[in-house]
Amino acid sequence: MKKYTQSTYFIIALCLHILLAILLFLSLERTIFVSEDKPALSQKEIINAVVINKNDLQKEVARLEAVEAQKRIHEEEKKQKLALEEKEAKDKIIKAQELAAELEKKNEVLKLAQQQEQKKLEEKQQQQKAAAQAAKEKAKAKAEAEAKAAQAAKEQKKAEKEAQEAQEALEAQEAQRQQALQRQKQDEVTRHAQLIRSRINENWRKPLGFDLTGLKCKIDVKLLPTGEVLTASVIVSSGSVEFDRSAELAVRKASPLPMPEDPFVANAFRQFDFTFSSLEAA
Amino acid sequence: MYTRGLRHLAVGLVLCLGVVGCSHNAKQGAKGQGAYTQGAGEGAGFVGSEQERELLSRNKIYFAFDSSGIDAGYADVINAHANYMRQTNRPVRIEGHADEQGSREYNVALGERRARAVANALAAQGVAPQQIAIVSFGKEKPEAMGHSEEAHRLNRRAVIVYEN
Amino acid sequence: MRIFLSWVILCVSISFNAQARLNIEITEGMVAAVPIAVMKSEEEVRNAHGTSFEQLAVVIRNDLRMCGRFEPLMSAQEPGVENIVLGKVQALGNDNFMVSFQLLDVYKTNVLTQQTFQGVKQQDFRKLAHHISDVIYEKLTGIRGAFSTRVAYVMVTSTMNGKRYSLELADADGFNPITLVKSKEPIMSPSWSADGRQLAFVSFEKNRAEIYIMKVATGQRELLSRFPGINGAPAWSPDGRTLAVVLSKNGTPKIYLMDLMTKTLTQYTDGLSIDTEPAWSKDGRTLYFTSNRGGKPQIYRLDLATKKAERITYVGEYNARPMLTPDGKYLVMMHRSERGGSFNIASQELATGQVSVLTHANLDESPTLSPNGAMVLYGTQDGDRQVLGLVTLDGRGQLRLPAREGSVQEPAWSPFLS
Repeated sequence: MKKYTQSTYFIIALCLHILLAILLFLSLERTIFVSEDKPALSQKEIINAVVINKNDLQKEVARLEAVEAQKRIHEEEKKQKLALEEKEAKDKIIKAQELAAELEKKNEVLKLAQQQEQKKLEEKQQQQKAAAQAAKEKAKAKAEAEAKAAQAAKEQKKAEKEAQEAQEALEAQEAQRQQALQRQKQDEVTRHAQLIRSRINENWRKPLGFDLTGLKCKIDVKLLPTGEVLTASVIVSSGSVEFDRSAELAVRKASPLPMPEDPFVANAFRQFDFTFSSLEAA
Repeated sequence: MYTRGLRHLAVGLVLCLGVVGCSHNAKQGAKGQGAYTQGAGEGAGFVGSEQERELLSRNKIYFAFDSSGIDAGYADVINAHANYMRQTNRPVRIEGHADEQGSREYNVALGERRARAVANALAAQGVAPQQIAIVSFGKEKPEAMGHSEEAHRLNRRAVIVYEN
Repeated sequence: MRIFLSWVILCVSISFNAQARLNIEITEGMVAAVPIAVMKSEEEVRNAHGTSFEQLAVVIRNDLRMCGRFEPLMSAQEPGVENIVLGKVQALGNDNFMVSFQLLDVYKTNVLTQQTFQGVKQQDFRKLAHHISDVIYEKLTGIRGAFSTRVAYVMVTSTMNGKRYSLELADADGFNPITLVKSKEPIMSPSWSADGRQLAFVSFEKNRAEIYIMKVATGQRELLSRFPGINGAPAWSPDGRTLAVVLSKNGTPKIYLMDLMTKTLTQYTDGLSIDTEPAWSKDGRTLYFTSNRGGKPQIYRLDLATKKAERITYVGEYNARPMLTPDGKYLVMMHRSERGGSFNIASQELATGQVSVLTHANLDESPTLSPNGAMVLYGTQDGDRQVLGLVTLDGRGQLRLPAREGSVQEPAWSPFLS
């Protein structure tokens, strides 16, 4: 919405006053001129009418009376009209006065408003100024802050990177340590598996029989923590009953198997497989 | 003047040979062997010299390992027997043998080859084929026991046996 | 160096990562027979009466020892015993016994099988013991036992009047021998029909070779072949309708097939070579035989449909007397590696041609296979006598079977007898 300035309101008020004056002027003059003209007309018509007959006269009189009557009616009407118009004009004046007063009031209100507005505007402007200033300063500050933040972020990143590198280095070291540990454990597992292997070798009675070269079977073994064989079962058969039996028996005969002390290493030996194979005859 | 003594000697010799032949036959086993009851050179109808008798007493031909070829040295023996057969028309059985080496039925075949070789040699000398029967015992009837090369040699033989 | 090597092998042979299971490879062990104790059960020990399971245990232990795979023991106290057979005989009076046994697995601590037999007579004890041996054998090896089978063989005795030959028939363990034929002349090549009811053999009792077939149950025999020359090496077809024979009536030994219904002969090999010792394949479509058509005796295979022969043995200077294993994969034969060498029993894997020599004496011959293909019975020398030897097809587990008297030769193992 467009904001009206103080001058705008003034012009409007002026125009209204002028309009009012015009209206007023016009309505008053009309009323005065109309009432003075009519009587002059009736006289002329009577002079012309002497030579006429009685009937005609009577008619004429009647006609004249009628006309008179009509004239009177017309005049009444006119009067009424004038009165009305007067009233109307008066009303109009009053209205105009009221309107003017209102306008005046409004004008004043407007003025006030305007002033207020102006004030407000000024205030606002000042505010805006201030705000702009503040904003400017804020922006400045922001920029500064951002710059600072960026700087801080940069530095943080750097710090993080360094920290990460340090971490990685640490982790790598740790991993190496773990690997070394793992290898050590693996070695222990290997060493221990060798122990178990010898034990099984001692106990494996390979069967006599034809066509038993190139056979392989797999035994699934579950051990108790003490090394005792809990279950030993053939999971992949060699195709020979004797061979499978001998393999399963070897595991059972070797029970209890030696168990490692380290619990991590021992874990690998709780459940595992043996693959028994008979190589080609020498 | 000495001829009578000589003749006695010859007869005596032949008789001895016959006895030896008989007892040898007895060792070899009983009447199933039928053939050995009367060796060549005996019985009616034979006319021949001592040399011939001597040759006829030899009724075994020996062979080299895995072979059925008759050694030339046996030509005289074969001839003597051929003559005898033609003269007497006695049915004869040639028995083929092999040494202990190798499988039994294959050795039967080897023995038969040897017997056939002798039979063919006799037929070549004019003996009627229907007079000759052939049998091979493979290594089932060894003459020499043991596993030496000598024992093997003595077992690789064809034997001429006269039926009655 | 060995330690290093074994470490390397070990590390290679142990596969392990954190997620997967440990797998340990075992390749070494000691080859040995199954230690099995065969004895009477405690119950019987306590009851102790006249007839005992021990009478059967003796037979069972002998069977198990004979087949070369077991080490039979008399007590379960021995270390390493894997199986125990516990048996019990109950006398129910009047030659009526109830026999029961259990086969136990020591390490698995379970009963592998148990059976009870009713209405057993004393005279049936050996037969029942052989049956129990069959059951034990099959349970522990997965292979059908051959302890209830019989062996025919030729016995030669020397008398004052010369040698005596007889065709005899005994249980597979050599017990209960009966004489089927007696002769003063050689008997050769006993051969079983596939149903185990008849034996074909060669007899020289008439001073010539003749082929007879004989019904085992009655001893009744029939002369089949007496052509001039060789009549030898009879071999029954698997369907029992044909007899392969070797005849030399046309000059050289050739293989003929004789239809047993019509007695008609058809010649299947020709040429001037020695062809002999035919052996049938299980499907009856091929014959393996010995021939010297290549110069020395080797084994050939004859396709009966095409009558075409192809050489099978290329290893060794002398190969003869073929016999096929029941699964048709191996040929068992008499084999000499090089000239002047010893004759031994060997097996040839038909698919690869690989030859394994199973025995190691000087003159081993006449191999015959048990019907389950697990053992080879053959002739071998013991001084100046012939005896039988027994060997498993992997060459281990060798036994020599003493002869009661005289020489024993040319064993022929019966098929499974129902």
